[in-house]
Amino acid sequence: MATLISVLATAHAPGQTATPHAPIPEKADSVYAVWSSMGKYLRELRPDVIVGVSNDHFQNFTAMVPPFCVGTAETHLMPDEKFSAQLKLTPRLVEGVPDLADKILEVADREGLPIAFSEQISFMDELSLPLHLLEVGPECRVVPILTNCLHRNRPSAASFFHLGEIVSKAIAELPQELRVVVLCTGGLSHDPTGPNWGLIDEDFDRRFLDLLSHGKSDSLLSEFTLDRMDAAGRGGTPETLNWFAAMGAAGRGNPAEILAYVPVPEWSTGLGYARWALPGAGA
Amino acid sequence: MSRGEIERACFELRNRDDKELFQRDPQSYLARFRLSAEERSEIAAGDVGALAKRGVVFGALDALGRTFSYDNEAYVRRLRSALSLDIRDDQIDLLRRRAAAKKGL
Repeated sequence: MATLISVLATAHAPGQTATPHAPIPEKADSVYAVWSSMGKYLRELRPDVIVGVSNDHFQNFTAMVPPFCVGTAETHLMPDEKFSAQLKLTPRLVEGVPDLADKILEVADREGLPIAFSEQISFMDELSLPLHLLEVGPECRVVPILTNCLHRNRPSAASFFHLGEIVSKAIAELPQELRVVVLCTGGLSHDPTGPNWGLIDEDFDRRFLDLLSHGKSDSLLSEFTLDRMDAAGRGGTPETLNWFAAMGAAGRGNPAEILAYVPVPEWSTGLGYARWALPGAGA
Repeated sequence: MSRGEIERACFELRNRDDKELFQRDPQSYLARFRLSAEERSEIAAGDVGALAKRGVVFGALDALGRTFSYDNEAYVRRLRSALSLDIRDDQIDLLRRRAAAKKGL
């Protein structure tokens, strides 16, 4: 049986690879130190699979916009070659896990959460960047789940939470012996392409992380509505929805360990990093 | 009016051939979309502010803004003005510093 061994949440702001020298060195150093420490932690866990949950940036979801989309392909190119120069990331072929992707679809159907699937997902920074900065090696396979945070008709935070629960159940139901980590990325406050472009809402970010660190799932679900996220930057802050999937996977009321919060105006983003211990998982 | 159709017209400008056609002959490019005359006119004029007021998603407006070579400051000024938001000096300062840093790379 597969086992969920840890849940992580990170920012995926593209400046972290595209313009690494834009912030003052102390800030940039503190960000890369967190990545390094999380990467070490992840390598020590020796995961066989990462289920990566993050949002589409309009590169896939335009003519057709699902709430969630699981990547069922045997391999995934991360990032897509057309985004490589902009992100300063070399595309690499990452092995997928169709069996687990199919299991997630099966459990989601049973639980009544609509999820699309695709074998042709184009990847930008959302998972490519965290996997690169965490130095995830080729031995670790990836099941990507793209989400709709930025388009219209987005799923609610409760639906994202439910998605995380479904992923957790699917892992538990998979017969293969696999060690699985759930990695959810995006946010926190930022507004690229919106009227608050460049601005960071630190109050929003700190309140969110404070509740998260105390395992206040219900308060987070009631306070962090789509309207509140939009008010903190409609062009990017709703990516914080992906963190609700992390909460759902980690279990209701499970407090997160906040590893860092670094507001970086040069990357126009409040960057958050967290992990959840899972009792009995040896993580 | 169809926000989805406006968004499609903007997103497709990310394709080089479509962008070139739009820049050469906007009305020919826009003829393929089911748009009102007013919507066509706003897109042809690069009026991201008017389109933002219609609720078009920002990602689509960004694609249109890039077609018109708006820098981030010009783009944000248009959006904030249309949405009746004050221009913030700290934001403009930041966008200028970021633009300068990018040029220096």
